[in-house]
Amino acid sequence: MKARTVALVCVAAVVTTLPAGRSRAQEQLPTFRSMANAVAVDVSVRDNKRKSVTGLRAGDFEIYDNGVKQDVAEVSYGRLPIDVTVALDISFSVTGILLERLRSGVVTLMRDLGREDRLRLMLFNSRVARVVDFTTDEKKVEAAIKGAIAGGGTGLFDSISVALVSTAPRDRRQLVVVFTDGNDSTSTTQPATLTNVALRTRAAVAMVLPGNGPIVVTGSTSAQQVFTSLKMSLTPQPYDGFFQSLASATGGSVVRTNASSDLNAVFKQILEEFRSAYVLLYDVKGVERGYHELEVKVKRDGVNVTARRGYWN
Amino acid sequence: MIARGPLLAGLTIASAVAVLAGQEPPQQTFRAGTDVVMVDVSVRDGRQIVTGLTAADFVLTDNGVRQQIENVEATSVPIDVTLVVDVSGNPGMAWRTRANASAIEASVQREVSQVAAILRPVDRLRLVTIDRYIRQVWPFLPVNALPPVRGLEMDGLAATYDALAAVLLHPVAPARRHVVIARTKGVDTISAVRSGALGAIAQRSDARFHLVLMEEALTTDEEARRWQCVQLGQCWPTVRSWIPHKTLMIDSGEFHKITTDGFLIKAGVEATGGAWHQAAGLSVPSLTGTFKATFDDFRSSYMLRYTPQGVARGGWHTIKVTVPERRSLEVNARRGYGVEEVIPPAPAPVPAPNARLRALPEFIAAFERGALGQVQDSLRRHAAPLLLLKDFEEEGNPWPGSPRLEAAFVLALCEPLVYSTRSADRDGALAFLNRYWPLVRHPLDPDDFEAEWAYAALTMLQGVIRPAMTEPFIERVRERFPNDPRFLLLRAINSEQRSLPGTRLTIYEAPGAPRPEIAEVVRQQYLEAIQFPAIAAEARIRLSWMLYRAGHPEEARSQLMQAGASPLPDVELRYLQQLFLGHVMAATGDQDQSIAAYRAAAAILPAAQSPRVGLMNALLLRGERAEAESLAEFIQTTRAQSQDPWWTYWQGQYRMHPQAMQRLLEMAK
Repeated sequence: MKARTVALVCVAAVVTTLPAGRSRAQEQLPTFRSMANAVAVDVSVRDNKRKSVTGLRAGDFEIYDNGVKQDVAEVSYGRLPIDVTVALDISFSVTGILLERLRSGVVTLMRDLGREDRLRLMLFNSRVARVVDFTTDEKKVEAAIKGAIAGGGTGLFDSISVALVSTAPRDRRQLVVVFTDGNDSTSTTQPATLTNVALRTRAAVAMVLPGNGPIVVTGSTSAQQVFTSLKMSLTPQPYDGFFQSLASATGGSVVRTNASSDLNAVFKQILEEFRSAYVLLYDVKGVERGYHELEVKVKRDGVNVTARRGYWN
Repeated sequence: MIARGPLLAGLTIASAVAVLAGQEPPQQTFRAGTDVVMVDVSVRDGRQIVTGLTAADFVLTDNGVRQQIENVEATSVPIDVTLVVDVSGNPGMAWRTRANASAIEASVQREVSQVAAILRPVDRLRLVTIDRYIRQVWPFLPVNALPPVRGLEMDGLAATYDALAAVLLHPVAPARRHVVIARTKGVDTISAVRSGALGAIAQRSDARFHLVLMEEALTTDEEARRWQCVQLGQCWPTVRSWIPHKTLMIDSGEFHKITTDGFLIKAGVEATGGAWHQAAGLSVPSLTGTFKATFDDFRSSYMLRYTPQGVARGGWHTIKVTVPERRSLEVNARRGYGVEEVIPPAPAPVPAPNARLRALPEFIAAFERGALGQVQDSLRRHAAPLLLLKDFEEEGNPWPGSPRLEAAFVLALCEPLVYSTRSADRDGALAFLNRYWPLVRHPLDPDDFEAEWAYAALTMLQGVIRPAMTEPFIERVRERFPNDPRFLLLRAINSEQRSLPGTRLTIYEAPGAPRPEIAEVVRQQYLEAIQFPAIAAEARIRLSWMLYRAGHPEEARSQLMQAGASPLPDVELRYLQQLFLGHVMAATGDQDQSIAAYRAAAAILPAAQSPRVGLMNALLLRGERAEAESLAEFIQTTRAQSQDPWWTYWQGQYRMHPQAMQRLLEMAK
């Protein structure tokens, strides 16, 4: 970015005016005042029972940009529309029943979206392909997943990178949900590069991965399958630490599942957590260009605050 | 031996394997496409061996029909000798005492040494012992490589008929002759094979079979038993608690008359052109004496070759060989051979060019038509390819006259199995390849077809990325073709595959970084490969990637620059060189060069995804967001489905497999 006057960098952008001809619901979207160096940050505030804490105002937050305290100009809660990009791993390892559960999970996720929210579907193995662009048409998404044929290697890092860099409207919050077995066999993007890409883009990344928790085997299954599940569960995934770090850097999350997990509930949980976040807007002052480390505090006891760790400007 | 189908003639018919392995053998010529019968003939004038005869001197009839003798050779054919020594039931003494193992071993050792001393360097010797178990003490070995005779199992019950049958059923290596010399007391106690079956097996065996009876041992045994029984009242051996039921080839009386069992076996022995050796007057046959006489015969015998004409192919063929101009000569040859009656299957309907093939005959028909792609595609989608392989193995070569075509077909059949996720499929295919591999070997010297077949097989196996599984095959081929650089590169890649953690392919950072000890081995192997211009560029590019993974981007860059110093005709190598350069330059902090390299790679293969993703990342990190977003849009919306060579990088030389199969098919034609 050359001029600080357009410094929206990788965080949710400022919307000064809305285009003409929008629906009534859209007209009710929050608007932020025009600011020279505006930065918007998603902040999730939860109590010890992971219940969202609502009713906070600008005065309840403290935000530090590279250690310099900033003035929070405006706060919005759960009102900005959301764009969800679902990236599904359809490599060799994701087949059959699992693919069917995924279809069901994504369709449920669509039903939980708000009227102004949209969903984009990307499928990947070695190749990444956007099969449905931002839409509210549930049938289109369902048909696309049904038609998916699993096979090939896994270009997980490449796919996340493409999803993050993809153009997205600046007046909407961005969430990328990645469902994968966590392996990568064909990416050209290195983890370090992917982290840098994530810090230069806006979306929060939520990873849905096979879990490390206790094994629950449902239905009839052979001893061989049980053993395989167990082995898979107990073997540390090579990129475990990286996924955690990527999610935290973007203000996202990592959710682990197992054979008995209800994927519908998992996707719902991710969406709810993302939706129930505050968007803080401030006009950045007193810091140089480059990487900005963020710290967000809430002036209340017993709450957990989650926000992206920083951004590039 | 793999069932040869129509060529399962036993005896001396040149098998498909011989044709396969020896298109242009230096010493013998085998006719391709038809059955060729080879008959050993020795000719004596009294005790004098007659030499110098030509094809015109012989008359040969096959089932009474005179045949055209195409070729007569003498002395040039190497011999495989199987010595069978009966060490059951205390061979040196009466059975009432325990055997003296070291004395018996020393005795066998002496005899083996005497036989070995007679053989030529090209000949080979195998030793088999008879006891409760049949034991091959060592397989066919050159005489200068024979290990000492040690650890024989002896003094047990006698599986004589089983042992002789097993020995006679041993397949004869193409272009060699097989002689079996067995010495036994002629007693059998526990065999599953009966005397009649043994005689029939002998008749159909490829070997010339000589049987030497140990009458003295039999007599000693019998006398001891009688003495014990009459004098001591102990009618069983003193250290045994029972006397097993037994059958005899010769009776245990004074004159050792041949029993009914013996006659059945003797007929089989003589049908091979061999002989039944019993004491005659004061002359007692010995193992070495018999061998010496046999070997003299062999060494100066003739090998007549002919293609049967005017006779039905299947069934028993009686052979008669004479030298009509000199009727006083004694002509000794085998008396016949059998050819399995084969009813040719109804021709399979020719499948449509794009049809999905299901049954083996359809695959065979399509392959014969040259539709390799259709065969491979259908095999990859076949529900039970292992059953197809088993059918194929049972039914034998569908192209008896084209064993090279069969060899190529074998690889096509095995491919979906070695890539299967089911271990039973993989194990089945590997076991089959192990059995089949020796059949492709040229019997004398490695030849071009064997090299191409081995290359096609190894490129197929390398793609599975199971380096431990592939390594023994590579080592075996390297021994046969030490100067072929392609196998050097295959070996280096295989070693690098070993540096990948487990079966999971992780590429970067800690999980993917090669372990230092493996990295050094890989590095040395690539450096060795770089010495050969034909493979130097690929070896350098692969070495550079290994160096990059190991955290040496500067060295990697140097190798990549050298690889690109000369024009690279292989488009995939050109692409990988630029793609890797993009990564390496980024790692050394040269963003501009990195972006230029990614652009170059994308220009070489416009539909490949990897350089565009690399370029997208690099541009975003340099702040050129608009072009990065435009690339992201292109990447996820392009419908081009061309393969990205990076995605199959770890499959090594599998990329060369299609060309290797095409070359193989050309050679098979």
